[in-house]
Amino acid sequence: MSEPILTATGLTIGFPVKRGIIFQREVARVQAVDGVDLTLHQGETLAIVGESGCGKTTLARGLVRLRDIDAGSITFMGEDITRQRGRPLSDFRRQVTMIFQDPIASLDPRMRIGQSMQEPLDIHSIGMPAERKRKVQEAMERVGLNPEHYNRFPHEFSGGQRQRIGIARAIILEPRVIVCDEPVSALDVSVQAQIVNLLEDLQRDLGLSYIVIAHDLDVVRRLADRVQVMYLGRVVEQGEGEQVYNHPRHPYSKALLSARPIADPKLARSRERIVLQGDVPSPIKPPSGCRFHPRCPVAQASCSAHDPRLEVAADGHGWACAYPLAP
Amino acid sequence: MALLTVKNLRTTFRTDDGPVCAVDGVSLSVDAGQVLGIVGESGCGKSAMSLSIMGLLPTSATVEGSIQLGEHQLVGMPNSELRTLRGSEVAMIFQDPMTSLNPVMTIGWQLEEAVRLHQKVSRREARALAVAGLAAVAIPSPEERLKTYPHELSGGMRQRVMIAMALLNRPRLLIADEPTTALDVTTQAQILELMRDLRSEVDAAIVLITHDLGVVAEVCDEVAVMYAGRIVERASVDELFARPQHPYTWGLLASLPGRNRAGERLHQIVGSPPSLMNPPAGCRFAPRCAMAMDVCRADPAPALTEVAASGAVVACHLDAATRAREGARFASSEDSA
Ligand SMILES: Nc1ncnc2c1ncn2[C@@H]1O[C@H](COP(=O)(O)OP(=O)(O)OP(=O)(O)O)[C@@H](O)[C@H]1O
Ligand SMILES: Nc1ncnc2c1ncn2[C@@H]1O[C@H](COP(=O)(O)OP(=O)(O)O)[C@@H](O)[C@H]1O
Ligand code: SF4
Ligand code: SF4
Ligand SMILES: [Mg+2]
Ligand SMILES: [Mg+2]
Repeated sequence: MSEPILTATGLTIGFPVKRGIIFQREVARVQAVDGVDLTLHQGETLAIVGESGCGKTTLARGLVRLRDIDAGSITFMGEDITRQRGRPLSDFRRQVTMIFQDPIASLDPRMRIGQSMQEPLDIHSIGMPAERKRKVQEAMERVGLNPEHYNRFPHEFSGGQRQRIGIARAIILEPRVIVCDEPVSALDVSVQAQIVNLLEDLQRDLGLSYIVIAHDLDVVRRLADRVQVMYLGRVVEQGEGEQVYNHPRHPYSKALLSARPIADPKLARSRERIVLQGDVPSPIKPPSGCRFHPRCPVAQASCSAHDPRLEVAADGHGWACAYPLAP
Repeated sequence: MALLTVKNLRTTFRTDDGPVCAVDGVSLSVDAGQVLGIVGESGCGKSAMSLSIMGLLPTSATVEGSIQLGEHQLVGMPNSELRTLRGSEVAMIFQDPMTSLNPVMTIGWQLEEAVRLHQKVSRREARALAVAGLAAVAIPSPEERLKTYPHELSGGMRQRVMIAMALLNRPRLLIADEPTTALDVTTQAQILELMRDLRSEVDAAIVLITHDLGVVAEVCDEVAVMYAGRIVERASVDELFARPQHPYTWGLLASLPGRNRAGERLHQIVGSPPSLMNPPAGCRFAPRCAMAMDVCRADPAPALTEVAASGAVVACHLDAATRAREGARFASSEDSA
């Protein structure tokens, strides 16, 4: 396998839980991301999958240093950037950019889209103004937008086009890594396919490495070389696409895989369905033992006491479960 | 006898730039105890159609054609009568539950009010119905939930509360407009399971609107595929997946991520839907259709015609043999094997 480009070790990111009306004081911290390890290799796509509230966005923002890290470290091209500031941080942010979950909220409605896309160039003072505009128009063309629409406003674009604007903004700095937070979740199925294909073309043409976050395993099936499944701030299963999709060992991965509707009415009627009940519990008071046990369809008595660790085998497939499913 | 019969529905919005015909001659029907799916891309007129049936359009809109619900003709019905029907005979659930929930009132207050608006019952009876309603949509400890406010619930729970509210007065027709689009896959699976249970328990007709054919396969009996304000194909769900007829349906089927294996490029429908202000002549899908012929680009547009021996209808100029041959490539695995 190629060189690691971005790694995280024991990454822990919390939020303060505050009490009091006037003098708010921190009474506890919730661990939204709790000891996550990951390695992204040059040119590959790592997918991170899990339900709403499991910590995906917090992890993504931590990885691009948009959030403070409580513990653990991030290494980019061999250099520890966990606590970098100033110039080194700005260099890092040029090379590791992000595509946001909500293409609508991530664009300033009063700013012309050309300006929005140019903003990163302005922040990093790259090129002369005329050159910047040319760069933006090149990027627009690359992501399938009409460069003549440079002066339009976000509301004049459809959801899929707005996501293309977000992508253009992310590639304009010629980064090496893009962290994509739910790049297609807000889009129609037909537009999802266009964006997935676009991300793939860009990866091939520009030599990018991706971390792609999604709540739906099917959506990232096409893109991902490797997958990490998260539950309540932790990685519960990881492996190559083939391992996780075809031989899931953690009951949660299996449940996520079976949640996606099957576009075949006869199969849909006959298949055995695992519908997970309830929601992801609050990370303020995570369940004892295995955090998945209150919702786990195969939980045993010991699961509420014993917290399984993620064990990774030599082939890279790992899971955190005391009673894993048969391969 | 169908419970809901829509004939030649035309819904037009007046805008500053001219009229937008969001629904252009749609006909369909649903029986009690059945789920009709309406699929199509964003902007094709799905919501405009459901709001037309509900009588919830803004005053800038005009509706022509016929919407017959049981003994009532809804087109031209005075607003006061429509209001009585809404919430009793017809109910709607929206993509965003906050469009029907009041953020400053408790769940219990809202459910009880919804009951008392349409049924002559005491506070206590209304409360009992509210509790039963929450229990029916599998909300744990329903009595306690009555005291909570919408923002204290997760997205999936809010969606359940809205479904409970819609069903309180036992409507004969339920319209669900993208009820799971904003939800996680796991929560979506819970809501779809709930819809399947409801179909068998409540003898209502359900119209389920979605952009995802996977969702259709899970819960619907009949499907209408909509493109740029018109229905281009209508069939039973088994027929649609076994023998899809319209090139646009093929595109929707092929873009489903679950159907593509690693190493295979995702099929995409090129381009985007036309503006409804100024739609192309002839078949509206022609600018994006790989099979388009000269005849497709000229008026009149292909009319919905019956497909031999299947009960399905399709609006496409391709001949039956070509549709059968090409369509087989997009049929469900089991049927094509
Ligand atoms: N600013 C904040 N203050 C306090 N808690 C927060 C904050 N942001 C997120 N959290 C909590 O951290 C946890 C993880 O949130 P995060 O947004 O990372 O989830 P996610 O996996 O991206 O979910 P989604 O799929 O809904 O985007 C959640 O329990 C959330 O409530
Ligand atoms: N209130 C309105 N005023 C003007 N045009 C509208 C209004 N509502 C919807 N439209 C237009 O009608 C068409 C269909 O919209 P809609 O029914 O919301 O689509 P869908 O629900 O299928 O995504 C679109 O072109 C949309 O811009
Ligand atoms: S450890 Fe127990 S509760 Fe946790 S996933 Fe495995 S079987 Fe389920
Ligand atoms: S009528 Fe012509 S353009 Fe329209 S779907 Fe059929 S083949 Fe394609
Ligand atoms: Mg998120
Ligand atoms: Mg809509």
